[in-house]
Amino acid sequence: MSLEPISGVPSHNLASNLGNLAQVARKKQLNVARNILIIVGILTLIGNGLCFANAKKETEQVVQKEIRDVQARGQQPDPVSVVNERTHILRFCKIIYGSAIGLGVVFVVLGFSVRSFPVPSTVLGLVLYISGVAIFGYLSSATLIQGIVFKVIIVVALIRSIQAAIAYQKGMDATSFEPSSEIPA
Amino acid sequence: MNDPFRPSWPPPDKDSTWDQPTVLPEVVACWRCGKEVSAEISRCPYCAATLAQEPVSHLKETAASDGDAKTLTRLLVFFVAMLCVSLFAGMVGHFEARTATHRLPDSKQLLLRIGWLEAIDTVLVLTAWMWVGMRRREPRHSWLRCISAWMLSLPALALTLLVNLSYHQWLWRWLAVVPHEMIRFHSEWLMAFWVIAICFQPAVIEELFFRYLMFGALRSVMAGHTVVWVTAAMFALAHIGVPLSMPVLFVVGILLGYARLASGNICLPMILHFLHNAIVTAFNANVF
Repeated sequence: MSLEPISGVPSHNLASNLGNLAQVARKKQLNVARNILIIVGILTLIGNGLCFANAKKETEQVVQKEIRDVQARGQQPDPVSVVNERTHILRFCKIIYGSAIGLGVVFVVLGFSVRSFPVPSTVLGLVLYISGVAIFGYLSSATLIQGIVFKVIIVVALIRSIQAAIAYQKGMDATSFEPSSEIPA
Repeated sequence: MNDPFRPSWPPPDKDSTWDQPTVLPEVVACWRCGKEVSAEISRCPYCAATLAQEPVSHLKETAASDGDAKTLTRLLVFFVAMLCVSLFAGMVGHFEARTATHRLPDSKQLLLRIGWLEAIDTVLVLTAWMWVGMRRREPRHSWLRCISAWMLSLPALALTLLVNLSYHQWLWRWLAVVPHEMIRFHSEWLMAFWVIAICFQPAVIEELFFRYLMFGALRSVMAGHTVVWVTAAMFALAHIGVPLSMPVLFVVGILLGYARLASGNICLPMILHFLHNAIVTAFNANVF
């Protein structure tokens, strides 16, 4: 009886082949999630970084508009109130834009950690993205509609990434418990 | 006549089982070469692979992961629904603030809005509970661990309250804002409604969603500590009506998550949440 050489034995296990192919497909989906999170993070960083740098100018515009509204009613604004309001608005803007910058950093970190921690990264990424859209929509309703198509595409891609991440992790766990394939000398 | 070179026939032992049907050994497929081998051997005679107790079934793993993913996706849909309800309530509040002549909201109007918001959240969470079903059972914790969790929870709650109140005091001072007195208990009925709406309902419904449903769903795909931090982040982000309080709500979420993880049941986080909200409400109402 002739035995096939061990080193050249092709894997006839259909389930194993299917599992490897499935893992490759899931890895591709995870790469999509990684790219989305990194791109969204960088765009958030850049956009809100520019807004943070421009916060003083924006505050001055708002304060001037308030002063004009008060003067239009035939009243004169209290200088102390104007200074307090300017400080309050500037600090509020800095908190909002600073938090958004922090959120961008978190997105980038999650993007780079998708391979190491697929499920937590994708779940947190989706939750943070949707919550960020909701919070900025709460602060300013106009931001809800801006780029709605891109937002929907990103959410759908992240949902599929979560499913792929769970399956990928289960596949990795199953593979780690497979028996050793070392051939004895 | 017996052949000296062959075994004797019939077998000389009268108690032998030669006339009983032979039980064939169970066969399994080798995970590497796919050939059928006996389940009793530890190494494949064809390719020398070490044989496991059960062959790895990728299809079974896929089915299990599909169930976990579906449960998680459904719960995330409910989370988004609660965010949308809070968002809508906030937009209504902004619209009322712009059209109202006075800057401060009426206490009764505020309570009515909170009541509606919480009624809708209650319906959403109960629907999620019925749709998702029972969570998977967790192994029982030892009594020593449970007692330790209960005993350590009160000092941890005290520390969290200190962080919460200190943070808000610092924030109001830094923003140069004098917090308006939102709570005015004109009557006992108003006070009772406030206790139910602010202390009791969040303690039950929010804990049911985040530390029972979501915790159970994430526990099947993540480690315990990771689940605590992820659910704490979701808990903080769900309070979009108070975005500046999110950092401290994250800390509160961590406390409640570890209370859930350490005690193994939902009662301790519910009690801690109730106590936390009650103390913060009493502090804001200048009861102390």
